[in-house]
Amino acid sequence: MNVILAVKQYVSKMIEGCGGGMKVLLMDKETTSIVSMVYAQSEILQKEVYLFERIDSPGRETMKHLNCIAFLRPTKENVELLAQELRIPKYGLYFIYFSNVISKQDVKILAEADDQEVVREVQEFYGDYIAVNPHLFSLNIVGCCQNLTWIPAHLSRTVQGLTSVLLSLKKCPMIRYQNSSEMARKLAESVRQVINKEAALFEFRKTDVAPVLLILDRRDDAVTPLLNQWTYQAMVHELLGINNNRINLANVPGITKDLQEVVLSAEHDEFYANNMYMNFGEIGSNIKELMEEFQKKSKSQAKVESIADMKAFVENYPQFKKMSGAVAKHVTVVGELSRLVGAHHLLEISETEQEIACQGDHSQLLQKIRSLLSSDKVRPVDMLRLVMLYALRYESHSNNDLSGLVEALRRRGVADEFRAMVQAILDYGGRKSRGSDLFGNQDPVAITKRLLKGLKGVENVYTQHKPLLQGVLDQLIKGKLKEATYPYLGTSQLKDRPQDVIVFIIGGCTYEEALAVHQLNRSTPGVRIVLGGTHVHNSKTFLQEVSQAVRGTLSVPHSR
Amino acid sequence: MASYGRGSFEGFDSYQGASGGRESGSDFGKLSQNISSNIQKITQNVAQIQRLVAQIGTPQDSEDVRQRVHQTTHYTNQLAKETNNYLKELAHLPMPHSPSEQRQWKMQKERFTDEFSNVLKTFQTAQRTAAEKERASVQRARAHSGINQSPFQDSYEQNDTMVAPGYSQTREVLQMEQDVDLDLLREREDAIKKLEKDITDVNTIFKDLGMLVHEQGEVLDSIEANIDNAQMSVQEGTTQLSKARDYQSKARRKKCCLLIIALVVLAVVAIIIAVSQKSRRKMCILLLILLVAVTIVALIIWGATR
Repeated sequence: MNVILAVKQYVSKMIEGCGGGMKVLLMDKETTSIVSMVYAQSEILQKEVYLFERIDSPGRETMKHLNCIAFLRPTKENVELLAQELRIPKYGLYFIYFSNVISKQDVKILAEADDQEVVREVQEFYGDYIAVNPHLFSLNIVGCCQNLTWIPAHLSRTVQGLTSVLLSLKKCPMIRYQNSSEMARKLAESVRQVINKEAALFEFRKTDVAPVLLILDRRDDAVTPLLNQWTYQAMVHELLGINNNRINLANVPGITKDLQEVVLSAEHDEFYANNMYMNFGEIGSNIKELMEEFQKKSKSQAKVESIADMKAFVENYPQFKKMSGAVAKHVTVVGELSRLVGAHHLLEISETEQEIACQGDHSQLLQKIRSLLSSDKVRPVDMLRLVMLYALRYESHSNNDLSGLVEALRRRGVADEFRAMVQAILDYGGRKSRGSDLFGNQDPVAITKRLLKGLKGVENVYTQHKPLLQGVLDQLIKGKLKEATYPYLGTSQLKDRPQDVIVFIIGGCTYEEALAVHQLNRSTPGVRIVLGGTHVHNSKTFLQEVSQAVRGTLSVPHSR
Repeated sequence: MASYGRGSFEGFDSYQGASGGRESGSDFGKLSQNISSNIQKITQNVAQIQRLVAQIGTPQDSEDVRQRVHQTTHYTNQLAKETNNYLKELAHLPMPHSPSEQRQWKMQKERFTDEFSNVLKTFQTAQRTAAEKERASVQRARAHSGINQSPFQDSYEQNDTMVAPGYSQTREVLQMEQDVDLDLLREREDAIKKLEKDITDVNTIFKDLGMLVHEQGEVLDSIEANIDNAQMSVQEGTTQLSKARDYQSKARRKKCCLLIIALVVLAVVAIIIAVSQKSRRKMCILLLILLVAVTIVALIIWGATR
């Protein structure tokens, strides 16, 4: 149940299947992302793949001495482009791998185009999704629905992505979905259809306990993507934006040219792998340790007196250089994060956000929000988020002063279209559209829990919020998840506690949820959970998603 | 320096009086005489130096010999400088009129330069050997002083004088010892030089390595990023090329416009001239021809710039 490993094995198999000699990897836009999430360029270079080309890039040079590995999604355009390519082959031999099930017709088109018989192999390798972390995948679709129903193209892409995850993990699951969501039901049915249609593919060795695919809707928990985050990975995504492991730092003041874009990949960066789930304070001390270690090393590097020293230096130098690159990268990223935190009062905002999400003293919170709205340093987008959180939390409170807050936003010069987002979020994730008890107001157990927590006090005011997903998964693992709210598709039901769980959130998941899943995986032995979503959201992309879902498209205020 | 001054003065003189071919001819004679005598002298000196240098390091070696070597070298140096100036002057002299004389001058000049350079070469080698021999003897002396510390120097010399009858013999033994020392020193020097070379080699290796690692370390290690960058660069290249094409065609159009304006102005001027002239008829015909010619030229240019 490791999606990164699954995709990586596919890619390795492709490269091995091609035999020795120099190779070119021919990809489309999406498979480029897929491959680059699991393989670093230097790593794949060692496997004699020297050239990377996009199939849609014009004017590629002819290089007959290279063997071509084509890894493509089975779309109409790709088949067409590939047929063109095969008619006038640019490379020696072609090994074609499709990332999903391809129709017989398309294969026929390719076979007819292959006049010169350059194709050696056509296979389906089901790596049709972006593996972000070992337990997290995404499809990079922002705005999967319109008018609160699926956009057909995105539905079919999601079905393809989800089935490819199942195929690559070799699971034929029982499907549960969120009853309150029409979209979840539709997706569940579509996935079931594909499984029935391609039954031969889904014939895996039966395990004792069948795996579970749980399909949820983002609309059930619109709060999580709106909160500021304090763990490294989530924070970088929230404040700087992670795009397929790449982070654009071009807007950082005083940045050097080498660091304008950096790659944060847990697979290839030890420091990041160790710290991606740490909170901001811990990262500060860890980065200081890293610095000290580096200083020690650089001191020992500076001492070159004898030939033996020189020899040692030459041997250690590449490693040293790598370390210096890593140090520079992380210091820059963390430095920028702390600059943003300081400049925009993010600590105070985050505290208030967490209180809105977790505790309930209305009048006190209203006071706090008002004072934050009057501060100059708070960014408009943060104000908007506060008001949206307030709207979600106190939607039915008797003393609700939402109109007053929206008015305050107007006075601060927040544009109309952004103020309209407050209503949009209520339409998207308001009380009516929720199927579960997001704030724990109805369930007596949840209320007592909250009271107890209030008595004990919280460890960290900035990370007290726990995503709804955590509770749902907890119940699922214990076998207590209610049939009424999360019914099975079909008649068969799971009697035991589930072991392998694939959760998919329509409308995107967040890194906070990824952290929760990571913790669950570690704390409960025997249970393996993989989380997926149409996208991995930060607040910015989530607002895009919401505005797209509620109406047409709407631009969203820039956070920087 | 003195010779230089005199030379330049003479040159100036001859330049001033270079009105007639005869006079310059006599100048030429005088100069060539000077040069040939100088070259001869230098040859003699060089021979003498060589003879003297041969004596250095042998039993005939003495302070006097070295003094004489220095003196002759110095003198020859001056002579060489002087000759050089003469040759320069010779080159600046105005050429005689008759071609036969010209050829003769030229030949003579070439001969002088040839001889002079040959002589200089031998002089240089003689100088070098002298310097080497002297350096060697100095090193030997230094080695001695290294072995025999200064307090014992006197007694050593006394020893030398005391065993006067075996003087030449001890000298010989000393010479042999010196030779051995010299060999040792040479070996050591070679070793040091080799080490130095090794160190510089290592240094260059380091630099190369540093560059390589630097290049690798800074690479944005993501396939997608690299592909994106490549694509962006290609797009940028395309837009810039199309921009360049735009600019080029604009420039062409501008050139044509300017040309046409110039032609119109020309035509207007022609008309004005024609109108102001009396003999209208003739001028009109002329004008017509002119206009036709101008149009043809314009069309040709237009076609060429397309």
